This record gives sequence, structure tokens and C-alpha cells, in this order.
Amino acid sequence: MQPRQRFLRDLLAATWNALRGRRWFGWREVLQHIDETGPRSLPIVALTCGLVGLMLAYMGGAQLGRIGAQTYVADIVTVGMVRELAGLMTGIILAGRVSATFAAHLGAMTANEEIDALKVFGIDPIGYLVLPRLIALMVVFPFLMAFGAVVGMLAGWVPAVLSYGANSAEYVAHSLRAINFTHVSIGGFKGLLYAVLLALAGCREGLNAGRSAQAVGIATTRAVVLALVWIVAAACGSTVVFTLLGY
Amino acid sequence: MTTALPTPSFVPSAQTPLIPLMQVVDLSVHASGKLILHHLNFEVYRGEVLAIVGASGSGKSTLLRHLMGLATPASGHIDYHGKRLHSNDAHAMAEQRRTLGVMFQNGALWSSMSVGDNIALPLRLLAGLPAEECARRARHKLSLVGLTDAHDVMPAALSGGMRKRAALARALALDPDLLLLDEPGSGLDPVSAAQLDELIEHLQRDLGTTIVMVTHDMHSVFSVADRMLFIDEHDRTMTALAPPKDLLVSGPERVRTFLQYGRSV
Repeated sequence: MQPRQRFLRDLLAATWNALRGRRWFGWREVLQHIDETGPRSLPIVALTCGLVGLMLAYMGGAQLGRIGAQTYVADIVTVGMVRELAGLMTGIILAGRVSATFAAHLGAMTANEEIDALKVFGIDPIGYLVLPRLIALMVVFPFLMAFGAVVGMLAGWVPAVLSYGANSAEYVAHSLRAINFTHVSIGGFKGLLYAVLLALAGCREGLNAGRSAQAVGIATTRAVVLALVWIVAAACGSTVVFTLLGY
Repeated sequence: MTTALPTPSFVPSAQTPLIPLMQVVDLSVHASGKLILHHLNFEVYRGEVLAIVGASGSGKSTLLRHLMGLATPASGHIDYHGKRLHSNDAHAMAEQRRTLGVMFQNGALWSSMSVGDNIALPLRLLAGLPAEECARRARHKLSLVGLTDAHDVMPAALSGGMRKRAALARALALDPDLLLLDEPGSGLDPVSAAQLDELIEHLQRDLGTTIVMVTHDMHSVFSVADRMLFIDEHDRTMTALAPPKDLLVSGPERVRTFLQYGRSV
């Protein structure tokens, strides 16, 4: 079995063991990773989601203006951000920020034989190093995504009010009316899926890095590229599936 | 051609029988289609210091990785405590490894935690000890290697010699039955290397720890090793296994040359 396939098998085994109470990590490690991945990503997530919300409102407003429906800009921005774009943009940002960090850290540990040192003690590196990172990202991602969606919706208000003549109360009312449980659930599901993919890409490449500085660089690059490809593919696939299912 | 002595010369004490702790049986290793080690057979006896010696690229470190259980042999097997070291049962393998202590060539200390935490981690995770007891034992292990004040220091702040000592303290964390040392004296100044040799002697003599070390340092071999295993880089197998002083006098020519040159450096 190839090392990368073995990673998935070992991850499933470590998850199963953790669910049965045999876990290697402490909650302190999870909190530490939450701190490293969450609050410190807020500014960049806010910036990118804000810009995307702004862009969406301008483009949506221009198209809706042709049929005199500019007031629906809020609907486009809200549904677009909550259901698709907040998660996608957060995922793209975290691919560069978090997957790369995971790959570089674990890759450096591999190169320095620190992973081997865990193994000779009989400590499972997946259970000790990967699971806390995965859990931290699954906790953090939905919050970052929700924050990004709110910032995107607020940014969309600027062109809606200043360029397309909507008033603030109208924008808020349309936004609240557009959002529903289905959109939030689908957005949340996608967020969790992206979180898992980001953590897997970073940790898998890091643990399978070679034993040189160059290998750590290669692993980091691979992790970012893989995370981006996986996220975009997952976004596309899930959008098609949910649409076909009528959601 | 193997010219190992038929009977082991190592006798820990008159009262102690020779008890094999680890047995390497017909071990062969291949990597990328290339033969690295060929039909190795030897035993490691309780209480001895066995030095694995050979030219660079002869497969010493590869052999050590197999003894650690980190690599699976192409053929043959390694028994440790009478059981196979390599098995398909990951849990059983992990249990086996816990009585091994390993000091890697560069220390391989976990860089994100202090030296004390490096030693406390296996105690906390594997022995399930409370934090205070882990810290107390970590300080004790550090005192054994002469690093009493390094408990709260991060590995990056240690010198090469101190890092090796800290790695040795971590290897001793769970009071291992067998200590595997990869190039313990490499990169150290002569004084630090001699101090490390004294420490290895102390571990064997006073704590009865069995030690296998891979080394290029002939001074270290002659001062601490009970037996020396020589791996020939051409034959890719063991060509001698005996006390180093015996090999210096009556070993195969290539081994004698290696030892004489090594001693004169």
C-alpha cells in the first residue's frame, strides 16, 4: 500500500480509536491549534470575503438593473455568500495559511526524525499530530465562514445603496428574507467538508515529506495545490449534487 | 565472507548467563532494487554494549532503523524479547517498541516543546503519570545526563552536545531494556564525546542497560563496547563480531586496517 493511501487508512483507525476513548492528544493541543488557525485568520478572511461581496453586488446589480430588479442585489449577495462563496474563499485563504503551515510543520518534523521518535515510543503520529489539527479546523472553519459571509453581505450593502439606489432597510429585509435553513445547512456542510480536505492535504503531505529542507518545501507546495484543487472540486461537485437534488 | 567468532566473547559477569535480548536472523534489506544488507545473523545479549561499525554507506544506520522497528526487512526477521519485532499488528508492534530507547543522530527532540516536556511526553501518554510525577521523573533523567538546569529550555537553545544528552535522557524516559544509539559522538568535541562515553559506561555498568550503538568513533568503540559488529561495504554483510581488542589483533585484515586507522585518527 502506498504511503498516501496508508495515511487515510491510519487516519480512519486513529479516529475510530479516539471515538472509543483511546486518543493520543489532549484538548489543550486542540485549543492551541484553534488559536493558531482561527483568530489569526480573521483579518484576511474578512478582507477577501468583503471584496468578493462587493464584487458580487456590483456585478449582480449591473445585470439585475437591465430588468429593473436592482433591489434583489441583497438576495444574490446573501445566498451567494452563505451558500457558496464565503466557504470557498475561506477555504482558499486557509489552504495558503493553514494547510501550508501543517505541511511545513509536519514536514520539518519528518525531516528531523521527530516523527520517527514518536513511532519508536509507540505513539501514533496520526493520532497525536493529525487528529487535533483536523478537529481544530473543523471547529474553526464554520465560524470563519460565517464571519466571512456576514462581512461579504455588509460589503454588498455599499454598492447596493450607493450605486443601485436601494435603501438600507430594504437591503436588510431582502437579505433576511433570502436566507433560510437550507442555504445555511448547505453552506455549513460545505464548510466542514473543506475543513477536512484542508487538514488532510496539509497533514498528509507533511507526514510523507522527504528528509531534506527541499523536500519540506515540495511538501508544502503540494499541500497548498492539493488543498486548492480538492476544495474547488468539492465545491463544484457539491453544488451540482445539491442542485440536482432540488436544494 | 563472514568470519564471526562461533561463540560470543562477551561475558557480563561470572554469574550472569548470556541471555539474548534481540536476535537478528538472516536479515536482508533492499532499497530501490539495490541490496543494502545481506543475510545478517547476530544476537544482542542482555547487559552488553554492542558497537556496529563499518564504512560510510555500509548500511549501519539502515540496520539500526530495522532494529528500531521503523523499517521492515525484505527477508529474515528480528526477535526482541522472544517475539517478532515486525508484525502486521500495529498495536503489538507499538507495545514491543515501548521497551526500546532510541537516541537519533541529530537528537530528534520535539522542537515545539521544552526539554522537560520532551521527556515527560512519553511518561504522560504511555505510563499515564500525573503532570507533577512526569516533571519529577524528567528532572531525574536530566540529572542522569548532567543537564539538571535544562528542564525548561527549548531544544533550539541547546548546543550539539547538550542536545545529544537531552535526547539520551528522553531515550531513558521509560527505563528501556535496550538502548539504540545512532552515532552518539558525531559532531561533538573530544571532551563532550568522552563525557558521553562515560555516560554510556555508567548506564551499562550501574543500570544494567543493554546498548547497541552505531558509530565511526573508534575511541568510543574501544572504551565502551563489549563487542563490535563490522559490516563490510562490499559484501554488505557482517564480516566480524567479537570484542574490538580481539579484532584488532586477530580479526580479518580489512577490519584490522579499519580499526588501526580509526584509532590513529
